[in-house]
Amino acid sequence: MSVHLRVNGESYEVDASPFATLAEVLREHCGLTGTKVGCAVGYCGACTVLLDGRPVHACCMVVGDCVDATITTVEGVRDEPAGATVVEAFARHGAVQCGFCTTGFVMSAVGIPEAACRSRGTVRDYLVGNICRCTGFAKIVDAVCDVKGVSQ
Amino acid sequence: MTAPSPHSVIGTRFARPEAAAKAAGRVRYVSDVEVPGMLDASVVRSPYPRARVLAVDTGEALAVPGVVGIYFASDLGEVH
Repeated sequence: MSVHLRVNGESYEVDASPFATLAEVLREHCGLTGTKVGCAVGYCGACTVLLDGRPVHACCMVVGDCVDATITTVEGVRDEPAGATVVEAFARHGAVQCGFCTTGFVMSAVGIPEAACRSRGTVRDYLVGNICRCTGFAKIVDAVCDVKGVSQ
Repeated sequence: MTAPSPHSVIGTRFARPEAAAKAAGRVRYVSDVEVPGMLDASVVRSPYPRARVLAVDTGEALAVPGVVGIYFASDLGEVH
């Protein structure tokens, strides 16, 4: 069945079941492998993408529910208002170890509403849907606090 | 005491060389690689924590359309 998606400003017409997961379609049909599948059950957040600007676990969305949405993956993150800044902050702060969870964290960080973060604790709350098995959380929170102007 | 070498990185901050590419999703992991003719594989483990595997009946699994093969540790020879 043909599914039409709008991802990173481009149109994709893919031959997929509407019940396929968004993560699977992005990776295998659109070739956008920057979105990772870690646990595939919505715990780890490696698959986080923006759906109409809101971070979602792409492994838990069926693609049929995404046809009217504007989807942003890490490949298009630089076109988001805070995108480039977040990517650069992660690199600058060394908030990257093996890197498998990183794009999910980047997308969650980009999806944090403007001026929502008042404290390091708030930043941590917004990143609760992402897990880093290298356990490099401190530098990840440092990077996001830096971008959001939260004093350390 | 020897003067510190101007080329030493000890005590200095430096950016991880691969960090920017990883943060931007430009690094390929094994699960991102696709080669022609690639098949899916799945590992099946014993559902019993303490047991001897005496025999495995693969008949039903092999009959599933698209199943190419089922392999056991013994098929790997000395590799394992």
